[in-house]
Amino acid sequence: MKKLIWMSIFSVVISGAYAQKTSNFKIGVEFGQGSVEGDYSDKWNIRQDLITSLYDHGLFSSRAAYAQSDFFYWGIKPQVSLWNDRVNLYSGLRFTMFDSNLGDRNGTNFFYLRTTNPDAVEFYKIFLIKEETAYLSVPLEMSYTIFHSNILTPNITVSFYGKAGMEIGLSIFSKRNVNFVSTTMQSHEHEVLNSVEQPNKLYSTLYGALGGQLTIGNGIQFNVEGIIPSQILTKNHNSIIEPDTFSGVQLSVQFPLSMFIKNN
Amino acid sequence: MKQYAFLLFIVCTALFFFACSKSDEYRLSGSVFIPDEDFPELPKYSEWGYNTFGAYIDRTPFVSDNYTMPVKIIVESDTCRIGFSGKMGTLTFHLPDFVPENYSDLLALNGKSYPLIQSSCMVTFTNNEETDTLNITEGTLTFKRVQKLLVDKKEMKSVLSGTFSMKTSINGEPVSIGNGRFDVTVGEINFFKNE
Repeated sequence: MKKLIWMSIFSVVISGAYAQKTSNFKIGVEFGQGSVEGDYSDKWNIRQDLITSLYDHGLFSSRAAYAQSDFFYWGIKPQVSLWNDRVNLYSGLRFTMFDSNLGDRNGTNFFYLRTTNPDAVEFYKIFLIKEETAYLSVPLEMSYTIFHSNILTPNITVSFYGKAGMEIGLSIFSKRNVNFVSTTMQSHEHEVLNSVEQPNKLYSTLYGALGGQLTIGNGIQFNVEGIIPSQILTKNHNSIIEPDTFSGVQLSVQFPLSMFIKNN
Repeated sequence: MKQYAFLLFIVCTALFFFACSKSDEYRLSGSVFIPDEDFPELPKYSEWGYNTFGAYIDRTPFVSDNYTMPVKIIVESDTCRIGFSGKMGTLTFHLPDFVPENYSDLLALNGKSYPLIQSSCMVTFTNNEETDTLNITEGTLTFKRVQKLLVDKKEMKSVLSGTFSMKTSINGEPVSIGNGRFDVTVGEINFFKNE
């Protein structure tokens, strides 16, 4: 019954959109990049050394080990415009690559505790634990134009909009490696990596953005968006960082479908 | 000229590697205070060599700090003294008939418990250069884990982790020293053997 309802809603939207001009259908490309805010996952058994600082009373000390995760993505993005281009629906296919590192803020090494030795406290000196994960996902987005104006010339429209979206995807590539201080310890790489499970293959996010759009006479749209702090919904999508939020920027270009369809 | 440049290169390289190993010694001697969830003024019990200790003297926390060496082992002819030092002073346990040759020999304490009520196991408290022998009415010192500390397969220190509690009197006033815990490393810099 639920499937029937969703299919009906989808059919109405598509029919309503198709009833309008074919220039309301667009196809475009997007490119974005950003970073994930969070702390390193405590699944890694790391000695929690603190950074020495001038404020050495514990008030401003922070852990020496840190995690950093950056991402970039690109995708193909079909678009349907409704209600005089006020509301736009987007979907498509997106490729996202996460590059995450666990290191020491001082640029030296951190001490990883080997938990498989019951007879000793045993540390490995590690420079960096690195993880690269790629996802293929389907985004679903809706934007609402807050303001638009032919402020420059009659053929150019400037708009500002707000957007909400979510995506769901699967991991297509994942790789981790460990850089030890001593090359003779490199043979223990698998032991360190096997102590923490692989990232979740499923990937899902919920995000919002604010953007500016330039539409020129032939209908081509150029968009610049700022992704406001948003949420990664799936747990354990990354073994390096425990994510709080992510944010970034996106550039996209949308072309009216009518540009590619011959009028007989 | 070339000879001097080569000699300078050798000296710099030697200093670099010497500095690296000393850096590990320095970092592993640092204290990492993680507050206990139930008693946030005391460090959480651990067995990682975090160089912390803590106890309540009645309701006053007696804990390690970032400036004072948290533990010193002083071995004499027939006694091993283990002294925990913080801002308030030094609490020293005198273990009789235990004479380790070096810090590795401390592993013999693993799993051992010392009843403090026995007169043979003395406890002293030093504050402002005045040392008082505590008259213990009940109490125990337990070494839950004593183990080697290895870095990249190389032995560097010994880690002593355990608990202590006691009831005593200080200046005639009954005092309870409770919830005591320690997780300290002992190496060349804080192991002393008096001949």
